[in-house]
Amino acid sequence: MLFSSAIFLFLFLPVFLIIYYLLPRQWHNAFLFGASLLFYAWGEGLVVLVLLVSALINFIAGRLVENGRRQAGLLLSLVGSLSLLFYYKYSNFLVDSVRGFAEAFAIPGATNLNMAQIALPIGISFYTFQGISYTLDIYWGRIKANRSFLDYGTYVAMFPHQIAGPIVRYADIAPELSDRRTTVEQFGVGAERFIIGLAKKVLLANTFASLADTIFNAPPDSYPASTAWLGIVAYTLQIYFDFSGYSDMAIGLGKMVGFDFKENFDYPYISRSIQDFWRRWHISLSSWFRDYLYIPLGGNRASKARTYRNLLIVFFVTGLWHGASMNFIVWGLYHGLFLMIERAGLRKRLDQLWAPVAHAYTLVVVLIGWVFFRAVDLTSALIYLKKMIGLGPESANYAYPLTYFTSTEVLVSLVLGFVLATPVYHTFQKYWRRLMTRVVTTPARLTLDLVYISGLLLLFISAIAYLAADTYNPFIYFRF
Amino acid sequence: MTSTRSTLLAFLFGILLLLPTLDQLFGLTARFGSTENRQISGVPPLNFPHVRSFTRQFDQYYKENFGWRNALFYAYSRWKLNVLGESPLPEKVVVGKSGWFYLGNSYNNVINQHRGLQPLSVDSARYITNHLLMRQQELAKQGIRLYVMVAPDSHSIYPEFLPDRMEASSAPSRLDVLKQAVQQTDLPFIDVRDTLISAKPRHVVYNQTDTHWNDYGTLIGSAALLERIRQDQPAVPPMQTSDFRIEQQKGVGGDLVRMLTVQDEQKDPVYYYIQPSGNRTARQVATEPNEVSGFPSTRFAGSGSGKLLFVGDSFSHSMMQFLPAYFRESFFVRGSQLNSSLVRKERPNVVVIEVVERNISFLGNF
Repeated sequence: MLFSSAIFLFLFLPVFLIIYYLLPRQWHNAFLFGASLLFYAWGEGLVVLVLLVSALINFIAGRLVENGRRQAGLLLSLVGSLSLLFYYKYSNFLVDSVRGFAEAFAIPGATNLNMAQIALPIGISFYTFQGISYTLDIYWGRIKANRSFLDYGTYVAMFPHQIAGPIVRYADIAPELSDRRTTVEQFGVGAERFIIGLAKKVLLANTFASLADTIFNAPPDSYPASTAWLGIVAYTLQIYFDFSGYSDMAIGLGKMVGFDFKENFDYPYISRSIQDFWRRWHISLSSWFRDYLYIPLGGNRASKARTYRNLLIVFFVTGLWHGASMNFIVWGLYHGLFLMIERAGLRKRLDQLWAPVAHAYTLVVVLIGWVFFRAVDLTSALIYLKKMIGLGPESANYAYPLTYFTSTEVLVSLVLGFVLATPVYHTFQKYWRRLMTRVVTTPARLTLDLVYISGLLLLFISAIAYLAADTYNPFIYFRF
Repeated sequence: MTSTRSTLLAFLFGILLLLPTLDQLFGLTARFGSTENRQISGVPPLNFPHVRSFTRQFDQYYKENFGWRNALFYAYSRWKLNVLGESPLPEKVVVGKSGWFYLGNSYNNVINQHRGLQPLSVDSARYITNHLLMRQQELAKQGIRLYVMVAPDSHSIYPEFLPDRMEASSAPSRLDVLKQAVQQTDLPFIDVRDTLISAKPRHVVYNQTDTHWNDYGTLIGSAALLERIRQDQPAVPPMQTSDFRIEQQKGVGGDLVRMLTVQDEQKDPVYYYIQPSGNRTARQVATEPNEVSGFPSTRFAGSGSGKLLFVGDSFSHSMMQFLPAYFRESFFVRGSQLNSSLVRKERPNVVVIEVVERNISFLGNF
């Protein structure tokens, strides 16, 4: 079930909220846990058991660590969680890679290396990391293990952050798991955040996705370099608004049921370096890797060579975490390489440069990196990059010249995308608050509130109208 | 102050979440009917233990039936069309210039066909031609003449109103390639593009809001077909303008704008009311169900000579107004295959098969 689907918005969510608010507080976790399993099982079926097994492994591991069997608990958590992740996410990739290697070196029997396709359980990357961070935090003495599987299961399974993150750490929500309050006002704050996230996803990300998909799926000789640039710009905006939109919706839903999830994006496209970019992009993931991989590896406390090695390991794993293919590994290592270069001295120079130059450098590096992320394989990514610099296959008559895509909606969406990828909304909020403090009369305040709310509701209705259009599939002739 | 805003928003958001269910229960937006021309999914049965298939079907059911869906699409459609000037469903319908609408790529990639992105290979054209020649020979053995007619897409007759970014390719079109292959044989092949284009300055020949030619275009197409038949069968009377009384009236919204739900706002500026005058009339004598196409077959008795068997698509439907008068008997069948047993049963002396330009590949299986 997706947050941006009618069945979630108008069936699951209202029924969930009504029951949740009607139930006594001591039943909230149990109901949230059950509803989350239903939410997950609706699309995934029995694969929900993988989530439960992962949760059970880390719950037991946490108890073992706390009861003094520290190594056994840690081992159980790491081996148990990671083997599930490896089996479901990487085994096909591993077998294909070994077969490819064996075929390349003509090793006998290479073609017999085959494995049935294993379906990837949605959210496995997120709940695996949540489980490991839980056990490690107990191991390091940062938190106490939870004694109730119901409460722990609620933390792992809860639907607001289950599908697309953010990676919520147990330590951050432990107090809310045992005691949280929900108020109408907090619900409203959550609703505002949810609406903004939904609008980002449906009105912007989906428009950019359609543009990027058309261009990336087209044969390389059917478009010129300018269209290739448009394609990757569209994808750059798509992935940001899609991902941050989901995070906004998760944070909003969390607030509606009393949880305060941390921010996951901080306008990454205004970064002035790749280091800065990773402080602002998917914050919960990058901080997870920093705290549970980079620092345990030694971080930057040892020699420069060790620091570079650690960076490359972290970004290799970051790439692999995003997907089981060479593209993601190359994308991760590409970012790791730039971080190394910045650490080697470029960062100091960037700090001295005129800010727009540093921004431009960062954007170009990020944009080129997204080509590896979006292309179906490495060969396609390289062809696309060649196309971007005007070296790709050419045609006398392009099917998709730049003008093919320049509709009003695309142009307006691009402008909105560029503007909203900067902290303009935060600035607006700041001025709006200032305006509200200066308005003294109650009717005037109420009018401004109504204007603000109308804007939000209009956004929500527009997003739903776009969703409705997506399901409208007329035919010229009757089809029964 | 944030408190008031958030509290109000909480209530209004809650109401918005409930409105679709209230609409499903009480039919608040019942007047916004679906124009999708398809069977919308109903509530699926739950056959335990097949829960996965139930959830998939229920998802489909819900997204096609949630409350306010049609009303929201109506609003979306108007926003896209009237404010942004774009097609609400660009794959289904292309919004052209000056109130013209065209069929989009969802149907047989018709736009790509016209942009030259899906050329017909010479080999394919040869295959289609050989297939048609085989049909022609089979019929000739029974003393029947075969005529093949292609009704042009509106994209070919009115390319000037297509959006600039969908400009047609300068390379030979799929129909050009096929025509070139057929012209090397003696197969009667009726391509009415030039006839229709030359008639354009005097009358609009296609519906602006519909995929089909209008009745004036149909009349011209029918006349061109009849003229070609007369070259072989002089006994068939000629079709003359004086045979008809033509009146101009205000048009209606066609199938393209109906798909966008704007049929009441976007209408054809003109509708030709054409009535046979004098003694060139025919009467419908029977309709017979056609399980293959779902559209009934129709029999006519006319004042001309010979017996016509016409197998065609929706473009042939409007030709039933004009052609039957020039034959003694006519039988119009909707379909994309010539049924040999039907031919033996009907024993016509003229068989016409017709397809619209975007479907010329169908001729390889006719």
